[in-house]
Amino acid sequence: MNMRVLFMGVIANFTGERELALSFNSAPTVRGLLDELERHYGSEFGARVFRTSSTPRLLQMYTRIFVNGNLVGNEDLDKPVSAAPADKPSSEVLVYLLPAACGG
Amino acid sequence: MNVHQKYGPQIWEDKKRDPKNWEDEWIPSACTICYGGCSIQAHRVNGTVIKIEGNPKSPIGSGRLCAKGISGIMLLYDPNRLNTPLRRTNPNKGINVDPGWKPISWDEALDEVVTRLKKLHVEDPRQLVLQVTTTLAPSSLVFFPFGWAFGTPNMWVAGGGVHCGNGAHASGGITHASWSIVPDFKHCNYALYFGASKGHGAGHVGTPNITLAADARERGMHMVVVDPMCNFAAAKADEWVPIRPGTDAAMALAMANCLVNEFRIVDTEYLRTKTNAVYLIRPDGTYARDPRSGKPLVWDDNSGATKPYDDPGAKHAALEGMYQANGESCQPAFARLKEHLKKYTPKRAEEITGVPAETIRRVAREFGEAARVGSTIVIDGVTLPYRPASAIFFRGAQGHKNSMHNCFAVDLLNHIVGCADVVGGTLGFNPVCYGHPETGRPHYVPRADRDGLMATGVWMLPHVPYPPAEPRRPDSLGFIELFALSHVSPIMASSDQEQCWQKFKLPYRPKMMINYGANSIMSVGNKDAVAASLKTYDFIVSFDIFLNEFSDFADIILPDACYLEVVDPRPNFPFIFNHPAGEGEWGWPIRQPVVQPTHDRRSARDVMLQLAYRLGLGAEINMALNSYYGLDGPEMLDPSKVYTMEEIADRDLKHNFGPERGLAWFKEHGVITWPKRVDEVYWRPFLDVRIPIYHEYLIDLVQRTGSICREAGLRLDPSYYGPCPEWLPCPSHEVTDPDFDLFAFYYRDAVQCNGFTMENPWLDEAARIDPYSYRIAINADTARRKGLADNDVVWLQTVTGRRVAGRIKLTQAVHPEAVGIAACAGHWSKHQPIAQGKGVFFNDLLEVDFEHTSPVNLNLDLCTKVKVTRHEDQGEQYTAVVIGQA
Repeated sequence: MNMRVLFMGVIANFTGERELALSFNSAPTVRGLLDELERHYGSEFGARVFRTSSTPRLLQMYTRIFVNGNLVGNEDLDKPVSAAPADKPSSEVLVYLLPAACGG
Repeated sequence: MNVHQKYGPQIWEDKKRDPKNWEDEWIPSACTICYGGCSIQAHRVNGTVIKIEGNPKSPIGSGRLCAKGISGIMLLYDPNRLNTPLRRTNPNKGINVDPGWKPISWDEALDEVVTRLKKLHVEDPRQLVLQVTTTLAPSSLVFFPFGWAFGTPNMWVAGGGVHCGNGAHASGGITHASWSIVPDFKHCNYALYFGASKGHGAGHVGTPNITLAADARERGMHMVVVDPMCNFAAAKADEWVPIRPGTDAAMALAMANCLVNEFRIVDTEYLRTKTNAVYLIRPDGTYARDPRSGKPLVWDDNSGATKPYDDPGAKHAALEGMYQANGESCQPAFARLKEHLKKYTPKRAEEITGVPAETIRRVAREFGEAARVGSTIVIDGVTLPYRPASAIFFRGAQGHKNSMHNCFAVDLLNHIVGCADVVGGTLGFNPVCYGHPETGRPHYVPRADRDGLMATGVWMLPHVPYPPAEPRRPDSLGFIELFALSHVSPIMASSDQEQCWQKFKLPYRPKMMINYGANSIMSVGNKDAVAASLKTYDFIVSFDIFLNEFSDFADIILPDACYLEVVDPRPNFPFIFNHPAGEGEWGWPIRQPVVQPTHDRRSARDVMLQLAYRLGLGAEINMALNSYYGLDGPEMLDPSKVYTMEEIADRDLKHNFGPERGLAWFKEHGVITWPKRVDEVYWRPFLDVRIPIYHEYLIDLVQRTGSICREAGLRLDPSYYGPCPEWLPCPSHEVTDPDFDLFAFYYRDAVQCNGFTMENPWLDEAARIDPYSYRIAINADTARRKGLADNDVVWLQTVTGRRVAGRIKLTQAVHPEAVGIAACAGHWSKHQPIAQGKGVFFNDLLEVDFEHTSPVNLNLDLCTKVKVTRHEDQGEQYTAVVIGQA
């Protein structure tokens, strides 16, 4: 399965890049994908995306994951990443982080 | 011709003459005179608004509207409103220094703004500060996404935010999953208010709560108000308990001591299943944890062994005693708390609060007995706990350096007797919503973290109160990321901000500000500190309705459309902020233009969107809006496209309520309603979440926060991080000079509050009839002892030499050791002639620095000690304040 992962908002500051292409033998779960991204970018990535370190990890209140344009919540993390729409060559996962701290 | 001349009795004659061309419409929308956002309908005749009333179809007011709401018409047609963009010609900035305004076109204004923003974005986007105001909070949703898209963490809600609720909101979030708390007015029999006015004028859910509270009092709800002043809430209560300002925690903890250790009125079932009272605490204060799962342990009386808190076999967890866990002697958290409370005897509390020990003991007993621990009631066929007693807090109790503990201490009373989010008890504002029956949206529910403690399902800002974010070395100007329990930081305008930034070697300084309706010169603290901060900016752009005191520091002024001229798809969402709690209906209204902006005024939101697109940040702001509004699927904004606010509003509404209910549907109907479910209203028994009565997480937090502060040389007082609620003295409690013998505080006036109300002529007329709104309330006996008479002009002076003047009103309705001042008054700008010279500028007495800021939640101390002396000049400049004297 081909996947295009986009990083927007403050998470792009930690990944250092705004886009990553990945290929999997079979569709990973969203959680599996995030774990893979954490291995790739380091523990800081996981600390920013997840609220807790013990399993099953919950997303931070300010983490938004869009899989092929659909927002994914905690209840969807263990579902496989959906297949790409017919008009797209690969599934698109967009990770957006609102800043954890704002409000001055 | 003004609206009165144009639409006097003559208009009905005109209607008879030309009925075909006569327009006569009632348009549903939402108020924004304060942040309450009550639903309104505006009567428009031939393009002119002639009346504003409440919207009976919406539960956000049910057809009722307060004095502020009906006066909105005078804001819309105020001849002093800004009409065109302005550019300063005088490079010198300062208080009362004339900027030499020159009218310019929007093109000129926006070209300059875009040029400066582009340069800043390349240099370092963090140099941009976005300043908004609480009043316009529901309208400011595009401002935060703009900041995120631009790449700055520096956004703040100025004085309205700093003064509002770093303590109250965090506490409400941690223990009720909500921005604030109220009694369950429909079923509550005993309401205990600590410095709160919920249901009596200003604030969240303003008009709906007024109705609910009035009905409750008529039904016989007994109401006790603990407050330094007998005004909006206390005057309608059964009992006023005068208290020394800022000492609420001492009284609440003494009451808790009475309940737990003397009367033994405790809801043990609630404490066992809905709190961390049974979690075993190690000698170092932290949880004893299961070595395998890491979960907190409890002692199970049945098996005589420790078990993880959520083990199905741990049904009989101990609340008291001493047990061995992992080789250490441990106590249940409740036992610890019980012991801790013993030091708060009613006698000690009397010394701190001035409230007689017998009163404390009596109120505690009344509260405990009213809670009817163990009773149940059937609602909608479901048997639920029935605890018709409630203790609430708000601005009065929380407006202090020790705000967090004041709030935790008051709320502890609810949890001891189990009256939290159950029938008759203390309710959060709607923390559970399963959505409209046809779409399941909006949907949010609190969840448990790994320790079983509740994390709120929705929040106003991404910075949630629990679990606290990992403290980090600050990257933002306000240090929010270092102080995990804060929301708004006074460091954004403090007198010692430069020293704070230097300590943490912040690699940038603020250069440019975009302001949205905030008058921070007056709303934060003393004007000198804020002015010094503002003078460091290279460039300030301000969207506003009027020129005001803040405008003296702006470079470009942009004339904003007012709330009757703009669209907003969610004036009351999230419901934890501004929606009546308790049984009834959900209601999602919109705000829509009642008339189009006139002159050269534009909606600030439209302008901010256009700025983002012109800056090439279209993808970023569209994704920020998708993320903030939760838009996905077919209603998700395409990152590559350009949208208007109306298009975004349309998508937001369709996303929540289906494709047939877009903006056009809402413009016609104004509001969508659906019934609340019993498991939404009284959610606590239905959800497996617990709340802390013992705040263990603070032990870890102080170590992490303290470590970062130590590295930077910033002293952090660890006493504010204790796991058990404490009474901690504020700087005002530690003033020893006997000349400075009175606590000065301000309060939210029912009509002059949270907005542009001071410039409104109808509200001014009402305020002048009220003998307190524009004067300093001082206890009559205290005043006479000082040789002062009613209506004298006095100085109030602090130990640091700050002073303000005003006329006094002698009364028995204020604590003998306190003076009370209404609202954020004392305007001096000639551009707001109704507001100019009225009332007292209390905030000018406040220090704005780290010493006067809570080291746990950054709450600014809003109370100060003053000496009162007769003014040398009893002259004419104060006549404006005495027009309405009794």
